[in-house]
Amino acid sequence: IACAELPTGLWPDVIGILMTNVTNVASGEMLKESSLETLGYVCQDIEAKVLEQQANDILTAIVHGMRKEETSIHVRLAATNALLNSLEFTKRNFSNEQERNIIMQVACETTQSNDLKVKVAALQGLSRIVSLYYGYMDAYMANALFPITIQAIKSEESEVAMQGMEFWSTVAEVEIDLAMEAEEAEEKTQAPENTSRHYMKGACQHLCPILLENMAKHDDDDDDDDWSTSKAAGVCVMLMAQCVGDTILENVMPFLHHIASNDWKYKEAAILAFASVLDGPDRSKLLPLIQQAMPALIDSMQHPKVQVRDTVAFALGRVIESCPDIVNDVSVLESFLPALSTGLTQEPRVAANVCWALVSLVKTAYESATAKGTDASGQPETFNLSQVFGPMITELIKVTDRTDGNQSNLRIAAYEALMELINNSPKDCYSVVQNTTLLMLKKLEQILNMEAAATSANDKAQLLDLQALLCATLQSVVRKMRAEDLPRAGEHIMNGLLQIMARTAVSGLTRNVMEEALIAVSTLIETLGKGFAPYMESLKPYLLRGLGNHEESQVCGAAVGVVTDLCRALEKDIVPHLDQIVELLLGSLQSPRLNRDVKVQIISSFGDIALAIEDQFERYVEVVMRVLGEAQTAAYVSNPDDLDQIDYVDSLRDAILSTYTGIFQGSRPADETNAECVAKARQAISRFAGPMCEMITKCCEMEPVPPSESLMSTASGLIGDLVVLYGSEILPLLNNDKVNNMLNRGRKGKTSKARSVAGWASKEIRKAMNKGQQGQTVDFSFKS
Amino acid sequence: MDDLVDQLTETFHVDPNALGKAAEQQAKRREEALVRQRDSRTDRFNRLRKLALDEEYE
Repeated sequence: IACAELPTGLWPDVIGILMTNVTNVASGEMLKESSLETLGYVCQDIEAKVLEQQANDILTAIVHGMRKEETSIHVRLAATNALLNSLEFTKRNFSNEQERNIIMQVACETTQSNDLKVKVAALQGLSRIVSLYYGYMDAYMANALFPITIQAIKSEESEVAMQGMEFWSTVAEVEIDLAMEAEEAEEKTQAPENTSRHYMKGACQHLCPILLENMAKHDDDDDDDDWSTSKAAGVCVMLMAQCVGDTILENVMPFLHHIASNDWKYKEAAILAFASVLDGPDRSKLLPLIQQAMPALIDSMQHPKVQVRDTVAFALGRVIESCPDIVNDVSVLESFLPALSTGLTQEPRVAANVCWALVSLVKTAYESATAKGTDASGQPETFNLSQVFGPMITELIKVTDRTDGNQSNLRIAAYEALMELINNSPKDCYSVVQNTTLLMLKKLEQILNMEAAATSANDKAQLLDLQALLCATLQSVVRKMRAEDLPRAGEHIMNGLLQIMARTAVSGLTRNVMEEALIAVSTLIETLGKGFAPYMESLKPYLLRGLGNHEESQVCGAAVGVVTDLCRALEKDIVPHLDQIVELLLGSLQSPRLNRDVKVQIISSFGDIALAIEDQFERYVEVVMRVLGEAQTAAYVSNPDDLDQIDYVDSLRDAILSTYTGIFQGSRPADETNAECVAKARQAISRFAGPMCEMITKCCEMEPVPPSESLMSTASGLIGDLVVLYGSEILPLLNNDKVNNMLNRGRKGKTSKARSVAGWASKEIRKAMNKGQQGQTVDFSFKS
Repeated sequence: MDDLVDQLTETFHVDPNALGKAAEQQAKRREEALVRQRDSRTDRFNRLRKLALDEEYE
């Protein structure tokens, strides 16, 4: 109730009442505890700025409840939890040294409680404090925070130890962000707003030995998916490496000799430590370390303990990611590849990690070959893995058939690896792409036949997931297919996809399948172009059904994507199908159930239709303009703190302007040198010029939030288009401070696209101004 | 494949994490499709404007 009423100014005394309940000496334990819990919940759910004015009352109650003099564990725990939730709106109190000292004192003292829950909550509070108020921590770090957290990490209680690690993981994350901020500021030759105190660098030598010991603490039956002290320690070491760079090496090196240990726990911890420090130090320092560790790592792929082999597989993937040059070293590859191949036949968790390692390996080899040069297709002729590429694909396909593939994400990992391998295959591996296509189609057929055998809900769910993965794999092979093979392969692929869609439509159980199938259809349309036309009739029932599927927004979104691709591929040939499509698109815009992002997509699709069918769009123009008008009214930011809303409004504005651009381009003069053509186009577009300029001006506003780079680019494009067609006549509507300011910003944008479109529009405005001054007639009136 | 058919005729366990991972990869593909459609739209507009994007104005 407080969360509903406080933001509107109602129930102003509730916080005061709760505070008094806690501080009043006559209050009993239950009243104090429940009042603090209530405060905690209110703090957790309410927008921070609503409570800023009452931060003092809230803190008074919390500090009172957390004091060591408080004898009730329940009260201390409720107060500590409330502190966790209140930290975001106590900025003002933190900026006041005296108040900060009090908060820090109780927060630190509470970590010494004998009660486990209170201790853990207090340590969580310290992590939160350091993430929110890092800049104030100097006075407390060496004397309090460092000893408290080190003591926590050494604790036998795993929850306490993990919270201690969490504190330092948080410090590392803050300092990594600060390092990036400093780098950005340096690029702009400015001083950074916040600076790093490099606590991590100082703490590294003390923390490393304790964390590394913790990494070796395993139970024999550790579940792969459970969060544990050893995993938390591993993450902390990894973040530390990213934060301190080369410094990590001297602190971790002594521990790495355990790679040869007979104690599997130490061996595994050393391999994980090795893998964890690869992202941070300079590559030149890593290479000798990697070369030294490789033989032992590869040997460890035969270790009897699955935990060791699992970590080795993970480490091999990390080695490739952090040291891509290694793929050019033939001797390394010769030992590496058999180890990966062995790993693929091992337990699901090991094989899944090998799949990800293979992805890194193939991607890296492909990038390395691409960097050496390609022809116009952008693909390299060959790469280091060409000879083993076929066998790799064969082995991965075997993995997709494994009966234990549902464990540890293995089947998904194998399919994802298959897709990445296809995406990253050079030209001399094309025959493998062809064979894989045939194989995928065969598998699809087998799976469709298996449906009858699947009786339980689980079986059916598994089959649907498999179908979705196969559709996704088909997207990859289609992209890689050569033009001469496409028509024939396309026919088989389209037939397969149609069968899948038919089954899905009948069963009513679409899960991911319908979306993946429609995206695969999109890929096919894009690659076949006009050659897709013969499939239009058979696709249509599924497309229309997808467009009307408001329950599953993602399916509807994929269907709208198909419409977009069809417009580009078929152009005017799409006209006979459009009445039904447009009707469904309009219906979907009205649906309260459909996700709003899909509605944005639908609005853009009207622009694609307009561009595709040119003057025949007249049939839909009135209704589409009405939709755009309504969308224009809805596209404003009412709460500048709501990031989701900002993104949504920006994308909606972008969609509206894209559609205006589609309408403009669809009506542009067929021959720009023909005066009659130009005059006709000017006349046709003039009725839209008013709303177009109005929307452009709205998008150029920098308050309350500036437009995104993409929106600036779209707006600049339409400005340029209008100025090119109407010259100085349109300038009264477009040559103003808002527009010029936006174009200036666009010209300094981050992407070359935004820069060149904004530059072009500015140049066209200048040209029009010069011509205008030379005395052109200005007698054109724009209807709004 | 035959083994898999046999396996599927019996009830077996679905790993919930696997579904999470699948959803994540699917979201990635969905995003890629949207980016591709958006990019081809703007590329088409810019081609009609005869705007060479490697050319920087100003």
